[in-house]
Amino acid sequence: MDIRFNGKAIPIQEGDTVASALYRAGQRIFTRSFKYHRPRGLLCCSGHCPNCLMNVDGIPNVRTCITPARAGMAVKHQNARPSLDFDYLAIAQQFDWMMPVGWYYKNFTNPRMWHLAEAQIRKVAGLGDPPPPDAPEAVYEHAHMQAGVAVIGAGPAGLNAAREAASQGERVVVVDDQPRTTPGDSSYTLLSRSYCFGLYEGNLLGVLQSEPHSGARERLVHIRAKRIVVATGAYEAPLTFKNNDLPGIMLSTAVWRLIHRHGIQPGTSAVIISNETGDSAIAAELRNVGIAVVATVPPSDVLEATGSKHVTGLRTRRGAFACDLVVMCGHRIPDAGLLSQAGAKLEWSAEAGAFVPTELPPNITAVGDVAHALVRAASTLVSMPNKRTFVCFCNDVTSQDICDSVAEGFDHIELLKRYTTTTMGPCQGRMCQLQAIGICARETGRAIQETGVTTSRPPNPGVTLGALGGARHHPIRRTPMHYQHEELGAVWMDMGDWKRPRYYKSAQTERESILREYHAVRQAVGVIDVSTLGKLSLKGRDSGKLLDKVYTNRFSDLKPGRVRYAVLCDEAGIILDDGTISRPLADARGYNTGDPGGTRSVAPSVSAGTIDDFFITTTTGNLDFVEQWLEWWLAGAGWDVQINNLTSALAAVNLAGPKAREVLSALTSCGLSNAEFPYMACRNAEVAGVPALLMRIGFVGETGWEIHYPAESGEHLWSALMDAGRPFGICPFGVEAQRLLRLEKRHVIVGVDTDALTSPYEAGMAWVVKHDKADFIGKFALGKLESAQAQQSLVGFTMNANQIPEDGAAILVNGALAGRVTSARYSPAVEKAIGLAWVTAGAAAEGAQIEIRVAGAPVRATVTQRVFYDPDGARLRM
Amino acid sequence: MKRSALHRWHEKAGATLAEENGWYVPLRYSNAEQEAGAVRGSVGICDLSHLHEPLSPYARFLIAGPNTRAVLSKLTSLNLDLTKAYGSVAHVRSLVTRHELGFLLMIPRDYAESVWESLLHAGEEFHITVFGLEASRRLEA
Amino acid sequence: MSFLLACPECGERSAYEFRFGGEVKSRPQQGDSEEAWFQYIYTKTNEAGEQEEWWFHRNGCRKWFQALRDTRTNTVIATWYPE
Ligand code: FES
Ligand SMILES: [Zn+2]
Repeated sequence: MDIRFNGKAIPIQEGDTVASALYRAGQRIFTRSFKYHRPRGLLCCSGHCPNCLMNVDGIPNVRTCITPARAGMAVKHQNARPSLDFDYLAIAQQFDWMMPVGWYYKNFTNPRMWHLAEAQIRKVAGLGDPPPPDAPEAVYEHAHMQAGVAVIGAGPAGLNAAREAASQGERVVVVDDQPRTTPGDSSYTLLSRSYCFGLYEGNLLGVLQSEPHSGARERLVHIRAKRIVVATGAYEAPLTFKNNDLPGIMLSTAVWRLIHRHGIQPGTSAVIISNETGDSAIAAELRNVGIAVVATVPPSDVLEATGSKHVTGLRTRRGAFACDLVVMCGHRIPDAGLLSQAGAKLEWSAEAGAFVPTELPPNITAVGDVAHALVRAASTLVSMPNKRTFVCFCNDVTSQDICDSVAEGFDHIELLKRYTTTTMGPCQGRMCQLQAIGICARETGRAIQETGVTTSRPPNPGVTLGALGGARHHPIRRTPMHYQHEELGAVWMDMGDWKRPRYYKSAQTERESILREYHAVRQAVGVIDVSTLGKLSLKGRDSGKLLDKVYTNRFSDLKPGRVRYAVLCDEAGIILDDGTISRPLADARGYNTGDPGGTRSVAPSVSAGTIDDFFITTTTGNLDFVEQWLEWWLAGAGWDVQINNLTSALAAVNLAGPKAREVLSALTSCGLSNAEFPYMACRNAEVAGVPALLMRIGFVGETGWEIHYPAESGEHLWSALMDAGRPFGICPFGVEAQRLLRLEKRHVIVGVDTDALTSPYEAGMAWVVKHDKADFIGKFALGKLESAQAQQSLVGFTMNANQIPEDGAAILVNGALAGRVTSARYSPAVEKAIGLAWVTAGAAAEGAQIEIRVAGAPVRATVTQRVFYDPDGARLRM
Repeated sequence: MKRSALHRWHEKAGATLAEENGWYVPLRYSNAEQEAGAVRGSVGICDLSHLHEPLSPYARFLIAGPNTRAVLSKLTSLNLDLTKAYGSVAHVRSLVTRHELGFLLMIPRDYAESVWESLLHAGEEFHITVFGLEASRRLEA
Repeated sequence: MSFLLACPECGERSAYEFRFGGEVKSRPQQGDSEEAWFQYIYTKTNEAGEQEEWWFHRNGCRKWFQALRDTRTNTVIATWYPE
């Protein structure tokens, strides 16, 4: 059983972490430091520090001391070139005078300097490399839990609290970062190998679980708890003295873990730095495994550690000791980050030598060491300024840097943090915060309580982006005819979650395929799937009243069997959406929609029951908004209106072209002549045996019907149309052909040709605003806008030469910017490129000459207010 | 004949389809007894969209078996002690109802295949199975 | 932003499930002063403290309701359907 470290086989044992296996195999340098590339070895062995970060199976910055070793793992060092043992960037230490605290701010105030330096800095800065694009994808997932009580930490105090809560009948979840060792207690759920990285509003806990099962790397668990018990204990932070970062200088907890968890003897002769006098527990541990304890010295007596790539001795006021292990009995600090995220105050306790949590919010309790850190090792807190005394191991901030920062005026703890970047690295302050505060307090002459702590923010510790993203299932919406499109060669486009055929590949090129679809509609017949349109049914006595209130035009007088174009504006008179509103003819047939929630019982619109029924279509992207907008104006109004969203229940197609009537008449007994079924009329009828609502409307400018019918018959009716249309040369068409067809008709697409400032007046749709209504949404603002001189207008244009501008291209008049193109296409009908554009009022006149930037050069175009194709709409009424 | 939103999926999965009340329904994918056993032992999903009222925007799935909650909790933040609630399942607003065998999920038709795939993906660790009407009848018996 | 809101229909749910609908305002009548309409259309109070707001339960019952929320702490004091 091996792992591979930089390609070399390293044997692993039961219970090994990646770091313990490497350590047993003789590895002592695990990383190179961030700035000076100093050698660093295992420091905490608890996942708290930056010293053991490596690349494991392509994932950078993995804490190897808490990552179980698994046969076949590929482990690589990072941040050292060419190797950990010899890193040429270690030369950086010789140039530390060039990198004083705040050196970015000092050296790169000149932007040109920064541009020169940036490329070089980028090469050496940062930690680890992201996985290459072709790396096998790691699997991440999310999960949700609800708990009566969530306990963070499965130490004795945490487990006690868990059992107690469970005995009171609570649903208890315990989160612990260690692997499950004992079978455990079934009265609570244990999430092992999980750490809680954040406590958010509403008692939401963010928990990251490693390898929840063999198929996933990490699982992000959202836990909502009524009550939270924080039992995170205390952690140990290093002491500060010169060269305190040398490999072989470890925290006592790290030494303990190496000995007890991994059966490793972490040295042969040790010096212990501790305030405890007499024989300490750790000394006994060391002797037990055969390590000679050379001396125990108090922190205040330590002068410096010696050694270059590993500690070889410790110089103290009591003499120099040769050793290969220095054990720091460091500060015990309550792991209170979650409590402070919850809103607790952290107060300095001189006797504990630590900040302890107070003023806990309701439903949050702290038990065990986190509540009252052990009174131990309240050692000399702070060190004197020195360029080799490391306070922040993550970002290589020394005690000298902290002192310099204060001297330069960055003496508030929050400023000092940002200026020096101490507490901002992977350890998030665990290793360095207390030291930084201590030095800051001393240098400013303030008390520690007064100096205060920096704010703890989640995530802490960090979380992989993959885990935040979760499983890769982005929702996809498919229309009922999706697979028929696929069989017809659809080339897809995304519209929100929807998949729509952009065009069907029927010719060599995209352009030819689209033109083929275009010509079919203009000369024969085409069919497009418009199931993505929003479809709302309105029922109730006050439906007409609601529509009159929210839409700019009038609907209460819409005759049964008629359809009307509808524009929705907000109170500022801005166009929100457009669509059609139909009032189906009364029909004996009734369908129950059967809202599964049972909260509404609404008759269908496909085959409407009463005169109060309206059927609204919205644009594909705005359905959600329109539904909410209507519901909002209904809320509390006490009106009798029920809105039913039928978008998913109904399929819809638009059959259009000079042969549309012939195709449709083969499938329905409904009269389709102009007399029986005129333009802008609607009818309920069966088509191919399927009950449907037919509307005679013409977005693409030809005689045509929009047919809405139950989704479960989606494929059936589509096939029937294709079969009936075959003799007439029917062609399915996609969004791209539709956009070209409508552009020739100068039909506006809300959100494409309009934006968040467009009123109906500027868009040339003044006729949709019915000011004679006593009130409607937007009436006041539209009244103002009607009389105001429009600053800009939406106009049509024809290119003088044969070039097609891109959507969004700039418009120039006399060389000055005067607007932009919203849509442009080559028009087979005009035999030129045409489009819609916003232009300033001065350039909006019929025949005005403008210039449009195409491929960087201005090209001349002529403004027109006329419709490009069939301006009188004769073809719609054929 | 009416088609569930998963009609094509069933076909691709090799389901034996039959007619019931004017709908195509999946009877089984392999062997009904095995499907029922897999559900009893872990978890499975079944398309019951044919049991729907006219003009319903919803597809209807049954998720059943002892690991039902474990699978669902990967896709929804709903508290599964519910008897009936609207909530988001695999990022899609759905109606979740408790059922004697597990939960009934009402998913907007056009999202049905996407949510179905998400359920299968989330259930991989439990060897989730798809089961047909025959197996569902055995389970209900 | 993960605070809980008690939807009158569905009970306590995460704020992520809802759409925020802005402050509760009363709409002037046609014929009211220009100033009143201007205030209504374009201004917000943005109270630092307790504020009446509209919320829509997008992932749930899809109903609008009103809530009294302390904007400084995100404590939701009460929720109700408008009359
Ligand atoms: S040694 Fe691994 S995090 Fe400190
Ligand atoms: Zn609700």
